[in-house]
Amino acid sequence: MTVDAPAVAQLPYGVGRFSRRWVTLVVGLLVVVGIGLFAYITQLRDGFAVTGMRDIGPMGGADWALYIAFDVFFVGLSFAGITIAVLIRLAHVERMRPVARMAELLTVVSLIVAAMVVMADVGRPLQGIVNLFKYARPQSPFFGTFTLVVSGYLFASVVYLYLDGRRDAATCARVPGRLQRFHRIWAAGYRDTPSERSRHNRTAIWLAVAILPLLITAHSTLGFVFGLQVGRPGWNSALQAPAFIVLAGASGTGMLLVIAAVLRRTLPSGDQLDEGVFKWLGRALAILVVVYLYFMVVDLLTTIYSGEENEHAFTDAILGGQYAWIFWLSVATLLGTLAALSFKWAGKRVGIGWYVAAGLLVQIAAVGKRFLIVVPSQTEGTLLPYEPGSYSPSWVEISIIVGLIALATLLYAVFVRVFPIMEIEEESPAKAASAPQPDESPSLRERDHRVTVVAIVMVIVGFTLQVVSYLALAAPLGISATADDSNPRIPFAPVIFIFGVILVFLAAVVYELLPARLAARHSARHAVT
Amino acid sequence: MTRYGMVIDLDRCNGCRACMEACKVENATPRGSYWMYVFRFEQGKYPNTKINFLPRPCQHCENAPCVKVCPVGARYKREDGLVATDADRCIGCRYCEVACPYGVNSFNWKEPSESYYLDWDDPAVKKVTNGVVPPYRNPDLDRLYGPERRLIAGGGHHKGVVDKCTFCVQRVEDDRNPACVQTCPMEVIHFGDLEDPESVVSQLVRSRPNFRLLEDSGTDPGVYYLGGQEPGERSHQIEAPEAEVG
Repeated sequence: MTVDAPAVAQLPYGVGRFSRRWVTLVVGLLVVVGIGLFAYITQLRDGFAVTGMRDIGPMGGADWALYIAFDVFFVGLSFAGITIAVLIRLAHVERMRPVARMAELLTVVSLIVAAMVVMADVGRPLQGIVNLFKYARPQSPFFGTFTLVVSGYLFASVVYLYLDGRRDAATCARVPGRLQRFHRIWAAGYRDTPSERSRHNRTAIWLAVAILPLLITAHSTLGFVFGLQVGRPGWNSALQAPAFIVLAGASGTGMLLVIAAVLRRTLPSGDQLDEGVFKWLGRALAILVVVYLYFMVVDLLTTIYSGEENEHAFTDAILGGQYAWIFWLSVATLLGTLAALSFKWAGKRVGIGWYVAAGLLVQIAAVGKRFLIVVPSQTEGTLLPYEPGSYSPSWVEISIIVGLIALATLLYAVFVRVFPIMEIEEESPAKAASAPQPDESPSLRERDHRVTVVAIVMVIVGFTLQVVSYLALAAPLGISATADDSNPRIPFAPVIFIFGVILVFLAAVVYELLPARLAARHSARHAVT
Repeated sequence: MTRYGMVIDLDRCNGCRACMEACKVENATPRGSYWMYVFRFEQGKYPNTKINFLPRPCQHCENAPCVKVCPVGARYKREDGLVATDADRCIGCRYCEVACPYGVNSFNWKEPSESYYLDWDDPAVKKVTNGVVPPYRNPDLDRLYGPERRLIAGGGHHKGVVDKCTFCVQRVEDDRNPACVQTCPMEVIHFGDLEDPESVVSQLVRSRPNFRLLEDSGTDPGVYYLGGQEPGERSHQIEAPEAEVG
C-alpha cells in the first residue's frame, strides 16, 4: 500500500490518550447508565404502573409523557448536526469545518438515544420490534417516525459520518497503536488520491442533497404524530410540523455551542475552534429562537382570539394553570438565550461563556416546550367531563431519561478519544501536489464508470422499493371495514421499505469504497502476472 | 352490510352504574379500567343546575382515530362495525389512547392477574375461599373471534397492552346482547344493527331527537343518545368512579 502523506508521530486531538480524568468521567457515566438500566428493568418487571403515566380520562393521567417529550427533544438535537454538515457542503460555510464532525456525531448519538427512549415507552418492547417490522402501517404517523427517522435518518447520518471520516482515519491508521486496527478498518483502503477525493466530494454533495428532504420529512413526521390529531386540543395545528423543525434547529445549535465550548477547553489544540465558529452558531441560534418565538405568538394569538371553547380552556391551563410555570420558564429561557447572545454582540469581549449560557438556556426551553406539547393536551384536553388530570414523572422515568443522557454523553466521550473529532488539517498544498498521481488508465476509468452505474442503480432500486412497498405491499391507506386491511399485503413489507431507504444511502458507500477494492484486486493481479 | 351500534336513552338513565359492574364481570377488566363509564355530571351554574347521567361505552366510530394511528394494525375495524383490539399484536405504544377524543381506552399498567379487586393470595380472602375457589375468568374471553380469528374479546390478556370496550364481541357473535345492555334495569341501552331499518336501534334513532358525542371531530360514532343533554364545556363530573391502578 502506498502512503502519500507524511507519517504522523502522534494521534491528533487527544485521540488514544485515555487520561485519568477521562476514565473517571466514563466510570461516572457508566454508573448513571447502570441506574437507568435498573429503572428500566423495574419497569419491565412491574409494568408501567411504576411510571407517573396513567390513562387519559377516567384516570386523569397522561399516556405519553416524559419519554415522548424527550424523544422529541433528542430527535430535535439531531437536526442541527446533519444540517450544519450539509450546509458546509452545499453553502460552503468553510468557517464551520471544525464543528462538522462534532455536529455529525451529535446527530448519530442523539438518534440512537431517541430510538432507545421510544423503546422505553413501548409497553411490550419485544413484540414492538417484531410487529413493527412485520405489520407497520403507512397510515400511522408512527410509520414515518419508525422508518424514516430511526432507520433512514440514522443510517444516512452514520454513512455521512463514516465517509467523511475516511481521510482522517487513513491518516490516523499510520500511527502504530491499539487503535490502528480500528482506524484501518474505518479508512477501508483510502489513499487520498485526487480521484478518491473528487469521488468523496461528489458523494458528500449528493448525500447532502438526499439528506436535506429526508431531514425535513423526518422532523415533520414527528410533528404530524401530534399535529394530525383532532381529539386533543392544542395539537391539531398546521404549525406543529414547522415549529418542530425550528425548535429542533435551535436546541441542536445550542447543544453544538456547548459541545464546541467543552471540547475547546479539554482537547489539545482545541483552540482551533475560534470565536468565529461560536459567532456563526450564535447567530444561527438567535435567528431560530426569534422565528420560534414568532410561531409561538401566532399560535397563541390564533387560539386566544378565535379559539373554540376547548382550545380556549387548554390555552388557559397553559398560561395560568398547573403548567404555567413550565410555559413561562420556557419563554423566560428563550428570551434569556437571546439576551445572552446580545450581550455578546454588545461588543464586550467576555469570552465564549455567554454562548454556552445561551446554548444551555435554550435546552431548558426546548425540554419545557416539548413537555408542554405532549402532556397538557392529555390531562387538560379531555373533551368529555372527566375530572381534571395531572402528571408528574416517577423516579423510574427520571432515572431512565438521565441514564440515556449519560449514555449519549458516554458515546460522545468515547468517540472523541478513539477518533479525531475535528478534521485533521490539510497538508500543505505543495506536498499534496507532489504526491504521486495514481494510475488513471482508461481501463481503470471505465471500471470507475461501472461503479457509478452500480451506485445509480442502487439508488433507483432503493426508491422504487420504497414507493412499491409503501403503496402496494404494506397495509392499505385509509379506513375500510375489512379486518384484512389491518394487515400488510405481504408480511414484512415494512422491512422492504426500510431496505429501500438503506439501499439508497448504501449506494454512497459502494460508490466510494468499491473503486479502491477493485483497484487493489487489479494491482494484486498485476503483481502476480 | 351490518353496522352494530348502540342507542342509549338518557331520559331513562338514573345513573346506577349497573352497566359498569356488568361489564367488569363479563370482560374481566383490571382495576381502574372502565370500558363502560357512566358520567354523573352537573350542568349549569348555581342555582340553575341540573344533574345528568351519560353512559359512555367505546363509540365504535366509523372513522375511528384510533384505527388510523395504530402503527401495527392491532386496532382495526371489523366488517360488522366493531372496532377491535388484537391483544396479541398490540405493542403498547398507547397512540390509540392519545388519539381517542372520548377517553375510552385503558392500558394494562400491571400484570392483569395482579390488578384485580380481590387479592386471591390474601389470607383474609383465602379464609373465605379456603384456597380452593379459583379467580373467576370467563372462558369465552380467550377464544379467537371473527373470520380473521384474532384475540379480541375481553381484557386481562397481557401486561402492557391497550384494552377497550368490544361491544362484548364474545356475546355478539353468539347472538346475545352485550353485558351492559343485558343488565341495565331501566332498559336504557339498546344494541343492534344500525344499517337494518327494521332493527330496534334504527327505529329508536328515527323516532326521537338524538345526538352523538363530539360529532364535530368527524369520527362518525356508532352510539346514539336519545333525549338528555350532551355534556358541554361547563359540565363537571360529580362522584367520579375511583380509577386507581390496583
